[in-house]
Amino acid sequence: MPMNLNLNPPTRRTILCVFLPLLMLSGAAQLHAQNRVPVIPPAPPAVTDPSTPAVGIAVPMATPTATPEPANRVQSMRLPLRRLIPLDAPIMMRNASSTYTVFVPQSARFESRTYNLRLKFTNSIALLGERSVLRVVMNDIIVAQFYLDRTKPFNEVDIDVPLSVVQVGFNRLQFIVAQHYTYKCEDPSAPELYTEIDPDRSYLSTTGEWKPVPERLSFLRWWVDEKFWVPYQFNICIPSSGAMSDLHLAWGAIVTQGMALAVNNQPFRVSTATALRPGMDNVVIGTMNELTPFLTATEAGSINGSFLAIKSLPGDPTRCMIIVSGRNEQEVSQTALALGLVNFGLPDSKYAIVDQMTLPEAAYVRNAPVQVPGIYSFRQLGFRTTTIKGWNTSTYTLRVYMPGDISRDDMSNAELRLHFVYGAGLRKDSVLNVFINGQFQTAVRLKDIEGATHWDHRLYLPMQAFQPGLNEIELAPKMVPLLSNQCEILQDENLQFTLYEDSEFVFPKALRKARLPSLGVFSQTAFPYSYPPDGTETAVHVTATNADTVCAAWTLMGKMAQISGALLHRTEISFRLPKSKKNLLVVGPRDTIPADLFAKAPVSPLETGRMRYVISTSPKPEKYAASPVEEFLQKFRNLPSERGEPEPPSTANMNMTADLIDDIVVTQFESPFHTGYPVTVATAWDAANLLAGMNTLQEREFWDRLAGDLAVWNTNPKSLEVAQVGGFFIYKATNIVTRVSNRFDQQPWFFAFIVVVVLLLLGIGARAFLRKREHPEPK
Amino acid sequence: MNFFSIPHLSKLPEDSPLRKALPVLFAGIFLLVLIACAASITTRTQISVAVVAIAGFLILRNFNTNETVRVVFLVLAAFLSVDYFYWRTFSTLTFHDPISFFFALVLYFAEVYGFIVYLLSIFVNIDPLDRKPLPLPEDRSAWPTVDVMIPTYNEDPDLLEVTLLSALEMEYPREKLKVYLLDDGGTDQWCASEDPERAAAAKQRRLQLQALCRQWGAHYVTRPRNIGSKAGNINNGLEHSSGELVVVFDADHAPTNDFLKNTVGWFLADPKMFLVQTPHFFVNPDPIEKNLQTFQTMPGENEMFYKVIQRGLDYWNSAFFCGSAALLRRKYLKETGGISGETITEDAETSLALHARGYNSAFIARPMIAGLSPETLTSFIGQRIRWAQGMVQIFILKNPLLIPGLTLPQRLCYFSSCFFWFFAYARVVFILAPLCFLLFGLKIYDANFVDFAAFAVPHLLAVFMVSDFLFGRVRWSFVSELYELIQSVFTLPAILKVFMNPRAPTFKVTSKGETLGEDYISPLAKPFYIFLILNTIALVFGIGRLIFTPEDGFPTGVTMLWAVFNIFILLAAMGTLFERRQRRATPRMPVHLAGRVRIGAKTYEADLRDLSNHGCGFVVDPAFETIFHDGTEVELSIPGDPRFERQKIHLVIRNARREIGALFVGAQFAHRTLDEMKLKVALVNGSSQRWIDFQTTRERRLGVTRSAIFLLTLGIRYSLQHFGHVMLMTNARRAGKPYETSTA
Repeated sequence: MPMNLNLNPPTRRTILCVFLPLLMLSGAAQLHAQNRVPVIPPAPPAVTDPSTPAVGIAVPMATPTATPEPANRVQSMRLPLRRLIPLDAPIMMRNASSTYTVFVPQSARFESRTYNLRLKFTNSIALLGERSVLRVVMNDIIVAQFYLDRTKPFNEVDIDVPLSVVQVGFNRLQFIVAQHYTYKCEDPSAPELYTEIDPDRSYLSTTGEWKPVPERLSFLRWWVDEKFWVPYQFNICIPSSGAMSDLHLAWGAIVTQGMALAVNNQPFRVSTATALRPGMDNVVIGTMNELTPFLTATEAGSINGSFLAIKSLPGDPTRCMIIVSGRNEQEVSQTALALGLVNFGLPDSKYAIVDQMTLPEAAYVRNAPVQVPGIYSFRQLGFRTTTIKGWNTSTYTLRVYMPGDISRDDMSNAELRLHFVYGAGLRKDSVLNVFINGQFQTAVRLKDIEGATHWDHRLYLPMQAFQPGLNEIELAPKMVPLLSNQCEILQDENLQFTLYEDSEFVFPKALRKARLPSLGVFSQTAFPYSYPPDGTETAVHVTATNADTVCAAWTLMGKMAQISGALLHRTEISFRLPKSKKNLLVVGPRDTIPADLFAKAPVSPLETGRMRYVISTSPKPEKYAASPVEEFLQKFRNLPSERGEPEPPSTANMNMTADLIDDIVVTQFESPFHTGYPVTVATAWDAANLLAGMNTLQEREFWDRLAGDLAVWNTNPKSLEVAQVGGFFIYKATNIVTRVSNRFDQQPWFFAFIVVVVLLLLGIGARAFLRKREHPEPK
Repeated sequence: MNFFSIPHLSKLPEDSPLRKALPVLFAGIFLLVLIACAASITTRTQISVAVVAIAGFLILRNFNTNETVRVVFLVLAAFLSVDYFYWRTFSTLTFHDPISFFFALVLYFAEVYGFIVYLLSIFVNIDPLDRKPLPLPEDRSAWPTVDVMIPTYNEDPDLLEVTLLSALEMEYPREKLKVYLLDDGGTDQWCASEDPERAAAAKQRRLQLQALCRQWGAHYVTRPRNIGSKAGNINNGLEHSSGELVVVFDADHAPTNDFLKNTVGWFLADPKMFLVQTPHFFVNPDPIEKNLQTFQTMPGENEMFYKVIQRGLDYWNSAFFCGSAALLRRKYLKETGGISGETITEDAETSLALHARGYNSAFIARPMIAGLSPETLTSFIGQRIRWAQGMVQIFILKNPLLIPGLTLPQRLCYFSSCFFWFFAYARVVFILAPLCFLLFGLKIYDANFVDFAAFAVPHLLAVFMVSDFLFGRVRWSFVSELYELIQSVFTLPAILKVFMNPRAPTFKVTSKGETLGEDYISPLAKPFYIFLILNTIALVFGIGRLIFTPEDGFPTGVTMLWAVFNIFILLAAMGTLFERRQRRATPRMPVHLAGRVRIGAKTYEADLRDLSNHGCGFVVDPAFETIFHDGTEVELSIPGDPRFERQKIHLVIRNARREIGALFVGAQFAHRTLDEMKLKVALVNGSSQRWIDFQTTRERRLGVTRSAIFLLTLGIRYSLQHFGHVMLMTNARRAGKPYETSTA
């Protein structure tokens, strides 16, 4: 990546000659600083109520059973299995043998003292107890095993996991079953062979304590990451004397996004204050002069450029204080950017000076969408040559990020050019199934009994099967041995399948046409705010300067950064409504949002007591049962909406005395100022509700279910309603060609008819001109 | 009121708001159409548009006699094709690897050629002008003087005699008509040739033709040196003559009596008229028609040009001189120094120069000369190479898009006429393109099935329908492909030579009136064998691909269809490359005339069935079989026609054969006087209606499917004969025996 980011740690010589005496004094200076550093009372714990039923969250997150106190490092946390598996997916193990694997995170920051697994499972009542066993394996070590007895189908067990098998990082937790229903030869795929683990009532729990923070920047890489069981909490401390400015807003946005990217797709909680907050990490941002109370004399003296430093929070060695500073505002901005962009690949020193930083036009994007059209080798998509053995085996999975403006009306096909080899002695019904996002698309029959090598084997996948954002393409070899009769010794060493990484994925020149509003596309790809991924074409308007509103805006931007995998560092963020033609994101309490913004909105949260209420949401049929003539005439009607987006429902306007109160609203609509550009508004009755709502929105069951143009949710009790209330517009459809194209696509038959009529007029016009030219008959 | 009637704009007042607004309206609609082409619509929408447009085609093609419908039809077709090309350009040219991309571009440019020619064809033929002969004024003193120029080089004097006599027999005041035989075979240069035999032959020819001219009252003109080929010869004739109008007839082009009567009137009507061109009508089949035996059933190759395209060109005041069967105004010719001779298509070049000076041309689509096609493929190809080289010379040296003086439509029309001759490139590419994918796996056309169906299929349908719509009566589907393929292999290198040296090509006289003693395989056949073998191998490879890489079924299937189409055309080409013997130098043309023959004192009713310069065929009652036998002398008269009723033509019976219900008699002319010979020429060549009647018998719309079946049947039949001949010849050669055969 062409980015020149030069963080210069002090050299050894400098340390010895200059800093050593200073370091000797730093202890005293630190103590001095602790005494004068402003600290505000601890915030209430931002953790989930343990009594709350387990709900789906995309990444592991624990439910602390006690509030972490600076003085008391001991903490208990709980992690339901549901949070380690996809939403709504069961843990069902079928057949004679089966394995289910989850990966359990373990933060380097947390030292577990106890580690338990509560497992609730149900086995088939047909299983033969003496031969059917469930093994629980952590990092290849069996930590427990149970008979699966037909007489005791409902089981709930507690497993003490030895701390020695738990490692920092992701721990492979496997549930392996052997299931039999008879002592004689049996059908290994008999339907009565099953065991189901309840992912919502099974959980991991741990008790332990937080480790002291090593005061080295390089440790941030492990200290702030995605392995927390609880949402990562941090405070952005901007000790500026005046009110929060646009520049402060921008600093906080960059740092929040950096932190959000560091915890990957995990939830996070950000707060802001002019002082430090105990019980959480703090990022202190400001110029050298503004940060004087937070700096030792040595540190202050070291600031000769963009300055980044880490040290433990006064009074709490388990929390860190990150200093983002510089001699002037420009240098502070550069430091913030360095912290956000580098994603903690920082030097092994207490502080660093960013003395030069050049950024490329296109910033690094973790979830960069594929270029369409384009040809990608599997290697480029992160796949490596792998051999799969046996039956009931795993699958190959490719992750492809599609651009947010891919039209799902496109009828073209993507092409897979597979290079693979499979073993000999496969039964003729062996296949390689291909799925996109869990939906079957096509298959290759592995029909050659002698085995075969396929080079450039082509498969076509409809572009309609892809969704904007992340797509999982699964290639699942299902190999059956040639000799597989009952009571026959099964040989499965021949069941081998190797897929090579030089296989290719060819994306056609698909139609790029984003139909907005679409909160669904927004949640999947952050489109269009993350296109381009540095946020150049995005503007964020924060309508109030209070801390909660600001944090709500930062939270939403952090989530968008997580989705796109990139820092929106060129995004314009301001307390003023931007005038430029950009994709606008507006965050603020209801009463602070400019009323004229809703000129084109189908529903305005500002109009208390007046709301469009959906009275019919049943989808319109694509075709009505009708005579052929009627069916033909219906072709001239509007087409049904794009798949994945609800049809605009019938609505009724009614006056009711109703306010948002506890509801949080996100709505998207066409900008009243710039045709073809979207405005997304996130609002609530007040700033506190808004921030709480943004925090809730990060949860998988909320964020992943955003759709339509209006989402209303509540934090207590948790509920989410989505609707398509207004009409659609085509993103950046600013010229006549794109507008005509749009109309064509909405009503193809009608417009086909119009085209022919226009051509008819053209023909008649041409004929009129030709007649004008006609040679008169000579006399 | 006719639903389709369009107001005549010229009838609107000049200051009419409607008249002023119409161009803006028209431009607006045109802009909308362009937007529709460029619109980035989904494939589904494209399919919808295509389906509606094609439905429109199917409805409109039933009203092809209506001029408005015709224009709408063509606009629809152009839209689909422009839409296709927009997609083809921006969606299908994908870089896979350098070799594939190179061949993808080669194919793309071949398609670009076809696309441009197609659009130009729509423009040229949007409203062909049906110009009628204009009657001459009764006051004959107002009629202009006419000089008939018959340039000759090496043609048979017998052939020339017919042409001379026909020219002299044209209905025009004798004092205003002079006929000049411009002999380039008896020039001083040839008479003084270092080759004594050549010199003697030239002197002999000069004497013979001088005698011929003296005998019939024509003027013999020759010159010291053969400079400037045909153009120089005519210009020499212009120096020796002074008529206001100049008529040019090729040596084998015998005019009908009404030629001048039907053409001169346009010069009187339009003082700026520099040219009146008429069609070339051939009384014998060209080698392709002869070898596929289609002369009596299928419209002739040149009818597409003379029955539609020249009329289309005439609409845009761009009908051009075709070297013969045309009148030119001497006054304007002199302005450009006579017939131009910078290129070897002096005729088109001359027209271009005079059009650029603002003069007008006209085309009368009535065949009024009877000429001869080249008999062998070699002569035919030689003729086409000359045309191709000449038009490419004009393209390079006098590009109609660049030279000053022409109107925009004239530029487009001339450009169309020149650019057409690059078909050789496209044809060769289309023949070889399927091999790229089927044999070598090169990816030269990047499209999926749905897009292909949405864009390419409607375009192809539009092309076929437009072709059938515009030319269906005179050019059956796929015949153009056959003719162009046969020529392309030979014209392509010839064109490349012109590009390397635009002034290098020289005028070569096309041989006419040749006879072929026996059947033989044309020496031009080799490249077509290679094409056929390669496409067949590609087809086999395609089957292999379908079996072993079924996932490539769509591109393989489409390319195989393409190869099958190529094989289909190549089989027809194989048939044409098997040259049939041609024993009759003067072909017999069908005729339906009620005649009367007299043998001794008895007269018998006879239906004339065919006529040639040497004889005729007639049918009499089979009861008289014993009377009509070989060697019998008869006198022929045509009741109802004063001239042929009054004067008799003597014949000698050469054969008589009994057919169902009739006795068919073949007889040879045996004229006894010069007047009787004139009478014979007038009978054989004098009536233009005969040529029209003959063309009408062949003129019918066959449709795309039936045309394909027709050509496929011929292809299979005659290619089998071709291969059978090759096998027998090879066997005979192996056995050391001479092989002679004839399928005639």
